[in-house]
Amino acid sequence: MSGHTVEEIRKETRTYLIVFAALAVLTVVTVAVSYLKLSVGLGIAVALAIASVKGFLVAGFFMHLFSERKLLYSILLVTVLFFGVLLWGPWHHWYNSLGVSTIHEEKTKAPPTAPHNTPLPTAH
Amino acid sequence: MELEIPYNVHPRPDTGLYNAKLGVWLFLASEVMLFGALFSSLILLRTGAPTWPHGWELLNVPLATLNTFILISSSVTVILAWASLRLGDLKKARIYLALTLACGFGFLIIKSIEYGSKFQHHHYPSTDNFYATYYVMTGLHGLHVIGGMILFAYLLGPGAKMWTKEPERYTNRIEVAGLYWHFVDLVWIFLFPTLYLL
Repeated sequence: MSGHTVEEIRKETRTYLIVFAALAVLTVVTVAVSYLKLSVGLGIAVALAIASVKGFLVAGFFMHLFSERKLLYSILLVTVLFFGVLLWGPWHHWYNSLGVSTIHEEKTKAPPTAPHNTPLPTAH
Repeated sequence: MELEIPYNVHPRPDTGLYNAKLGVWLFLASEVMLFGALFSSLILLRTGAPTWPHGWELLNVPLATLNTFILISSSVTVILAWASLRLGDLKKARIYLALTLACGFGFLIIKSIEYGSKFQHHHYPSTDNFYATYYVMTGLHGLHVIGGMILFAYLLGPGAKMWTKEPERYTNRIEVAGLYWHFVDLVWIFLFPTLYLL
């Protein structure tokens, strides 16, 4: 952690208060956006985008990640990688189910190419 | 013979961090996986269900918003306690720690009001998958809040004696406890929109 003089610590304190104000404003924005009744996809994207900005502020300033040692970044990189694997599972499931439903719809909508009693072409 | 724990004040030359700080970050990495598994399960259940209720239809958004403000405020009070200790002001630091504890209590009281209201309407974890994930995720988060409060109660009370003999070590303890508390805040920042607003 950099900044050990009295003036530097006071400056950091002011930064913390600014971050606090930003977090409070972003919380109000998150709730306000939820009242707009956006589509499910857009609503999720906006809510998670705001939450990510808030998380970025907390981790960066309050947890001092903007001025930490490289070792911590390596640990967090591995953590993020495994967290991604955890989220990949449900995403893969959702993506697969999307494909199955699309194929199912196509099958039910497509007209039959030939009547069931049509004889198969034979080779001469 | 007293065995001294090395590098609890000054950084280790190879890691550049004092041991407790590296230890708490490793612990937090495991916590990411714990909550990550629950978020993953929620996504799987939600995308796999034919219908899923909107959180704002069933849960109390104003109370949860208030709890968000309380938790964010407590993050600030912890870091102000740490800053005060770095300026050599124990009295101010203890006031900020007491405020953090008060915020923790406030959060839990509001949460218990929410739970009480749900129980009155017979909405239990066994009701459906929505309530099961709601209770498990907020319950586990609540347990983390209680854990943090026990830690701060100790550091505010008997643990503060360390300040007289080892002020730097005590300051580091507050920093490390703060890292944990900020993580608890961070989890809530994602839980709030995921459960209540979507």
